[in-house]
Amino acid sequence: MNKFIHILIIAATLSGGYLFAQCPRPSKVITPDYKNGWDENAQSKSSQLLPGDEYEMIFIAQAGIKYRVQASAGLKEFLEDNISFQLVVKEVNRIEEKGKVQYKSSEVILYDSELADKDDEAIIVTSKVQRLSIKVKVIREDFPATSLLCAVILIEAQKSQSTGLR
Amino acid sequence: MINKAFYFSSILFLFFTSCSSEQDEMMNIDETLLAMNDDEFQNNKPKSKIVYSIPSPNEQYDLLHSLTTALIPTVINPLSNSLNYSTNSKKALNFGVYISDVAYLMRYDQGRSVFLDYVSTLEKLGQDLDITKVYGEELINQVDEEGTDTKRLFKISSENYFSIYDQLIENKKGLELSLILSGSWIETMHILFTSSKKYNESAEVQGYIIDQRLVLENLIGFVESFGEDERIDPLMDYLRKIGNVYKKLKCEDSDLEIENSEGTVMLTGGTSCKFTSNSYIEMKSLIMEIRTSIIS
Repeated sequence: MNKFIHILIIAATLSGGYLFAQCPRPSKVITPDYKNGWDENAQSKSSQLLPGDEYEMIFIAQAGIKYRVQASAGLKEFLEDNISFQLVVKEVNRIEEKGKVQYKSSEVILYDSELADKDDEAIIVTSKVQRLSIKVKVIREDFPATSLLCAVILIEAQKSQSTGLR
Repeated sequence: MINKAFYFSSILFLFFTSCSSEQDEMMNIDETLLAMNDDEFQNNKPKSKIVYSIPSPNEQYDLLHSLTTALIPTVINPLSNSLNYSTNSKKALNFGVYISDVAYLMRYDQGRSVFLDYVSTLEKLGQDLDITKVYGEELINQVDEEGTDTKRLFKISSENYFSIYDQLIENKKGLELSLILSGSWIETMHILFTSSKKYNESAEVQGYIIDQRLVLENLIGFVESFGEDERIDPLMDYLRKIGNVYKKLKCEDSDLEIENSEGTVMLTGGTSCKFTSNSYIEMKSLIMEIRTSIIS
């Protein structure tokens, strides 16, 4: 029986994860907070993952727009506790030593759901356009290693009141 | 008689050898799969993946509208051109162009009848691209009902974009989606440049065009993630050419400052870039040239 499940999983993986029913749109899993001015952003994504898999999504944060990021994972029942995520910005620093110029790239974690106190949501606003990464991981302990799950990342956006556009 | 027997025995031979070789192959695959233990399975499955998101044209024009409220009706690709596109690549690219145009027109309050014209054209173009469930009677009724509410029409065009995206992913049409998103982005760039007018005439729109360099990086990442294909090669050449002009911009780095205020992370600083007169003209001409080759 286990071997049969393995075959199914491998077939699903080889076919790019399309063998099983598609994952739902993120807004079908996490309802956007329309009442408070948030709107679903087209950069939201859903994807099929195995427990322990890491998935990085690079999205564009436009200047002066406030973004809220939430994630969830599951099969039939989706829970925020099934998934952890980090919001990361890559910083490139110019370093000049003894006349030589070098560029060093480093990652700065802006939000980590595993370290967050209460709400599993990251809210961010930038004064200049940025490429931000959302790194998600389905928490392994909760599922058998062969369970193919849906992970959803909902990005909501609203025009920022405080910073203006530029 | 001998000939008939020869052909008959040949056919039988081919039939049995082809069946048995296929069976052997299947057996081998089965054995390989069944022989994998848990460790091997773990080693063979993908460990991580990167996906690239691209702002929708609706999001782009929402921002443009906050910078300039002037509509330029002549900037779009006429719907009559849709009859000229015969190959699937052209259809997909121009499907993207029209998706961008309709988002622009809806953000600038051009109303129901304009939207319905696009629904009709996109439905025809979409049929050959496996986009069949999006432009049905339900959408037409929805547009009819919301006819005078321009904000709602803009919202419908945005939801429409989500549906197209989902359907192409569901139908494993990554290549077509790549072409559609690229056509859409090139058209958006064309509209941004037209709205920006001459060098330094509209500094804010110009700044927004510079911001598009990051969208381009994601778009290239997205297209590349669907692998190499001869239908995508000319497009990748275009995108890389645009990337090369972006590399000519004058950029200055400032330290990225991160502040956390009442649960909101605020990022300030980072890289600032500017066009020179020459790089602006070069980029504008290149976008014009690429856009012309797509819509003609």
